[in-house]
Amino acid sequence: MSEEILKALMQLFAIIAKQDDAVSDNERLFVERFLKQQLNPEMVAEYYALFESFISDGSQDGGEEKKKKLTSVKDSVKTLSICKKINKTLAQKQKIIVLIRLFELIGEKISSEEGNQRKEIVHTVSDVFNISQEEFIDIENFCQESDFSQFLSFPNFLLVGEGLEKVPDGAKVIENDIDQPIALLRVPSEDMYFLRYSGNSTLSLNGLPVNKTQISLFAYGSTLKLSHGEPIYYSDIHAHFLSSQDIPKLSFEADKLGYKFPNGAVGLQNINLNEGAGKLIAIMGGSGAGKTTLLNVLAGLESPSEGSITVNGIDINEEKDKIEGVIGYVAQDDILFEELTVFQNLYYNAKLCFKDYNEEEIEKAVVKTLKSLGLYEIRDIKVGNVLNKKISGGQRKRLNIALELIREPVILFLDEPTSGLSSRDSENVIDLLKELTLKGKLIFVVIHQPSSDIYKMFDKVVILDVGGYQIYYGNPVNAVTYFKKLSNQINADEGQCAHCGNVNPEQVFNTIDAKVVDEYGNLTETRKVSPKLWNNYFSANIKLDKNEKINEAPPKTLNRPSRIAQFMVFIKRDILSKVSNTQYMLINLLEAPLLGFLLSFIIRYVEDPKGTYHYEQNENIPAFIFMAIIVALFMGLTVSAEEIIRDAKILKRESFLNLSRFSYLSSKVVILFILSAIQTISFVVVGNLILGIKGMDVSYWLILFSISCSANMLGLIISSTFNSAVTIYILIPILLIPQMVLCGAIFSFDKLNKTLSSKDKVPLIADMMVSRWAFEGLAVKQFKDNKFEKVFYELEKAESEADYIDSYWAPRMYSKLDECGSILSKHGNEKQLSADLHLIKHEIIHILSEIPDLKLDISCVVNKPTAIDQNLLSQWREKVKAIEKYNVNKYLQANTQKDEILNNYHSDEVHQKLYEKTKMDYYNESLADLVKKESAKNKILEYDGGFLQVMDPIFQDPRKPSNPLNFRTHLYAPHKYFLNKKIDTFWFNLLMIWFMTTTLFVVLYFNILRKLLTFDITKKLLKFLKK
Amino acid sequence: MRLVLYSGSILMLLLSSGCGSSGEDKDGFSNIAKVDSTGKISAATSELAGQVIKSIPPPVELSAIIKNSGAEYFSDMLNETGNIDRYNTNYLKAANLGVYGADLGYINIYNHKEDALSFLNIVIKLSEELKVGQFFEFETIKRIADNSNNLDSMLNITQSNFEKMNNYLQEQNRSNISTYMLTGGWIEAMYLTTFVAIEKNDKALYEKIGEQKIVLDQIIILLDFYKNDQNALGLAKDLEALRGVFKEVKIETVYGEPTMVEENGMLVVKDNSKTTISITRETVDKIRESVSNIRKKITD
Repeated sequence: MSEEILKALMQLFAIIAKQDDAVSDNERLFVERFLKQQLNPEMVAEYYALFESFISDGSQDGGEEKKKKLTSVKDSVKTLSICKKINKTLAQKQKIIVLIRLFELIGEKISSEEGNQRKEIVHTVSDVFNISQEEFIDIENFCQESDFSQFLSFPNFLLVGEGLEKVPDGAKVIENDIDQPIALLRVPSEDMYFLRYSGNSTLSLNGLPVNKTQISLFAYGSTLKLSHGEPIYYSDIHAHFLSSQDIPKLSFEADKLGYKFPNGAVGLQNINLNEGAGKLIAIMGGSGAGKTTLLNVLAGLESPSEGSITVNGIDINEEKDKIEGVIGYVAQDDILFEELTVFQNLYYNAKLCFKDYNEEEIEKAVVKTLKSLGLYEIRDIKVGNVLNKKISGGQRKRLNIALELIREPVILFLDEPTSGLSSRDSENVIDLLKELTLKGKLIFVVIHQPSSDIYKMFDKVVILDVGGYQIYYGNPVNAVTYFKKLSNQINADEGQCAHCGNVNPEQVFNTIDAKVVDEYGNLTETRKVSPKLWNNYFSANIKLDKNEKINEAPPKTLNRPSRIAQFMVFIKRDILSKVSNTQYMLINLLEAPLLGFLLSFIIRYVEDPKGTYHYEQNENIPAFIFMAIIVALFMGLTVSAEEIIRDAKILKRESFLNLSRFSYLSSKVVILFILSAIQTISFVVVGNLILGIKGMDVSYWLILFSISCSANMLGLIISSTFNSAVTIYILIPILLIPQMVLCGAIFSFDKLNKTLSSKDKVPLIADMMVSRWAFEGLAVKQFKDNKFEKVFYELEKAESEADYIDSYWAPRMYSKLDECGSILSKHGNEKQLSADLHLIKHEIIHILSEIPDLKLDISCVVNKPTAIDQNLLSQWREKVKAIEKYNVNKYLQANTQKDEILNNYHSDEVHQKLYEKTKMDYYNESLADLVKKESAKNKILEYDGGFLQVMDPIFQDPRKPSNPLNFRTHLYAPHKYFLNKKIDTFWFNLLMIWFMTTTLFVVLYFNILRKLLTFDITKKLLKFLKK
Repeated sequence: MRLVLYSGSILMLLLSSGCGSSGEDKDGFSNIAKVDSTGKISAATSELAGQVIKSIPPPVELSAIIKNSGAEYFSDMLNETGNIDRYNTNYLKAANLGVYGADLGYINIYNHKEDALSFLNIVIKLSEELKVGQFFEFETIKRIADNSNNLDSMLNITQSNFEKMNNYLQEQNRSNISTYMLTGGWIEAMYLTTFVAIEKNDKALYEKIGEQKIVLDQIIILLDFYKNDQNALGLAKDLEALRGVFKEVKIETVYGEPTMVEENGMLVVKDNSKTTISITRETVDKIRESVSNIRKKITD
């Protein structure tokens, strides 16, 4: 109490005391006693002197009737100003105490005129203090009425005594054979209790004797000990005042719980708990005793290996859906969005819990929760992280709790809510929990080294010992005596300090943990009492109360919004948290154009040092395409890789809300896709501008965006699969390097390890890489569909096809035929002959099938020949000749047509210039070399019983597959077949990338990779252990 | 939310601008490419063309004479190898293949290995583009180069290769290609010879140039076969102009009775006819100018 307040109080006391002219001895005594309680002896004297001076001040001009009235007006004004001063500094609870003290000062005099005057002053005080009329009357009655049986008709009273008759809607009654009743008053607005007793029996409140002349505050966690019978706890009293509607019907039972860790170690054994509504339970124990394990098992986060946990008869592990929304969990770690403000954190959380609330109601609920947790003032401050602190540790903790509190789950679990908090913050937090239990919540708290005050606030304490043994379950103060008694210590009955009422929970652990002393007086490692023995004592001494059977479903506080609504909340929350992280946004948005600039600037190659830059001659274009793909993959992967792991703790908590994983993932995906779209578009715009790649922006963007998306998906998968950010960053190269290697740009597919490569098609393993589809798609598109090549592509394709037949295929066929001829005449290798004949036959049939125009009688090839002789060979040779001739014509036709076009371009200067400029701007030579495979030494290969065209893959139509689902072709094929449809390579590849992306989403949604990994790893571990 | 909207609209904007740039064809590039021909080859060539081609001596002959005149090697005279990218029509390809071929012959005769290699590559590339690569195989040309000391065998190989190619092209109804090649080669050879002749003021070279009047006539006849080809027509026109200059050259043949002479114990008929060619330096200069103009049209 501050000096000022004390001064003000003295003034108030003086004003009241002097009302009947003479200040009575009683009043003086009261003031003295009051001061003694508050201050040390010297100070008492000082303030008492002050009191006396205030009295004499007023009584100087007293005596006459008129003056008296004047004084009373004067006093009223004085009172008013004093009260206003008090109003500014005292909390409402303290004001109520002040009011009660004032009533005590007046004593029981109410009949006299002076009494009325005093009463009026007190009334004024009460008015200024904003104490409601009803409460004022209650307090007045409570302080002044000496006949306690009068209280029976008032609902805010509770009487402890013998033979008291209950009045409907009247006072609560607790039976006890005490000589005179004890009266308790509840002040509902502040949830305060006051105790008054004037009997002869010895009562002790929190270990201190109750002063019979005084009204005592019955604070939170107080214990009232009577000479006979059970002590009365604060929660018991409070429970009486909660109307039956407020108290949910709840029965929480843990029956013979056992838990084994995945590695086989025992975590818990035979834990039994029975609890109802409105209890605050502490779970305590030395380190490694299994406190958090027990909490997690009780909360249903881990399934027990033995026993069951039921809430109102519903097994929480078996019937999860029925228990949905009943349980809340506050982990030890922070589960806040660092980038959001205090308000936003709570707001989005609330949005996910209350479907039916409109915006206003949600805001109201948030504000209410914030206020009740004392967070309202800091609502607009960003939470920040542990290193970059914006709000204090206690505030963080309270906000974490608020996230759960806002939806008010009936059962709440908290893991060390006070760790790292100052003692004051700790007390605030536990106080808050205590308040909640008074509303009927059941709260379990793992707590470590609580202070005496905190320890006493718990209704019950569960003590675990090493190995997961339950060694105590019951009243916290009694725990001290219980263990003291069992270990035969002196003063075993004394649970708390007789003078200060402090309980030292350390005593309990010292007793449990006591070590055997050896003959030299040194402590050994051996414990006096083993955990098992403590557990035996527990089983023998402590019996669990049976819960009453409750069959109605536990009350739910969760009203989950629809998937779409959840999705929207997730999106908003995520975007808000990303946008408010300026550093993150800046890096993510600038990364792409910066890389685009760096890359394209560096590789903007000009062959002639004096010449100007021409896209046509830039030899780095294929490398640029490759790098663009890698950049897109890299950006996509890094931006997403931490997404889910960062939310891991939040997800763990939100698992109690059973929110839609689909909505959550979709929101992630949508945000990442938007980010990827922006990144890739800026990359493409910058890169293409600098390198002079024209008319390809959309194609580039589509491909890069698509693979960035698939990389996003990959990143999300590893993010939801692995446990730490470090693992994820180690994994990135493992994911990216195969994409680089098997993309087709660095290593030629026909020069890979024999077991992987196939000469005629892209290797299967490469087909599984998005990078390969992207690279091929872009290379083909860029070559085939640029403004320049578009004019010539079809003609050049015809030329190339015909040229292949004429220049490479036909000569090879002739030499095969010659070979056959010579084998025939020399009776050489028969095996070789049949293989060659088969090849020739196969090739003729195949090539003819590609030329529907050429009607050739190939019966001599198809039908089984009567004899294999020179005649047959020459017949076949004729067929090859015919094919060759057809293709010569085809070539010339295409060539002539092309020449005519070219001649058009050369007809005059303007056209010539246009032609040259267009070529320079749109046609890239190295890219052409790449897709035409100019570097290949062999243009044709004998492979798998046929000839394989190596040259000009970009002009080579893939053979139509027999299986409509087979889409595999050679690299740079201009189009692909799928479901008997001819699809342009660019679009097919794009679809392929999206198909893979979708598949990855399915993997992500079902968390398949994680399931695979954990299943496999646990199995292997078990095998290893068995060995 | 606003961010999503903003980024969305920016995206759409960029996309639409991208679409616009790829879709438009403001300069009408692709319109020029529209031709109504179906690619039918005019079968106007005849046996006769083939006969005429065969009668035209290969340009290497002229190069040999240049060297004999004692002139030095001028690499500046040759067509630039960098020009090749510009030759994209069949006409330009063929004519310049002739030009580069003549240059290669000239280089070979002077045995300039370094230039030979780069010109060789050019020749191979162009020939491949014209789909006559098989007649210019690296090995064959290498052999020509190695045989540079033996002019006869070099001429032989070149001639036989050219004939083979000519036959092949004729088979494919593409003898215009060989005509263009031939013309190109001749023009280049003439260009080099006239240049050296003026430089050296070599009478023998003047005469050799004068002799080409007959070759020119033949070439013009040849080009006449392809007069529905704009390129051939243009070339023929230019050559006609050249023929005008050549009118100043007088070729007189004094007929002499053939006599039988015994040589190495064998009887040989000896032609005693004498051809005199009268040509002035001014005429050669005019020819040089005209040839140089035609060459410029082909190579540039």
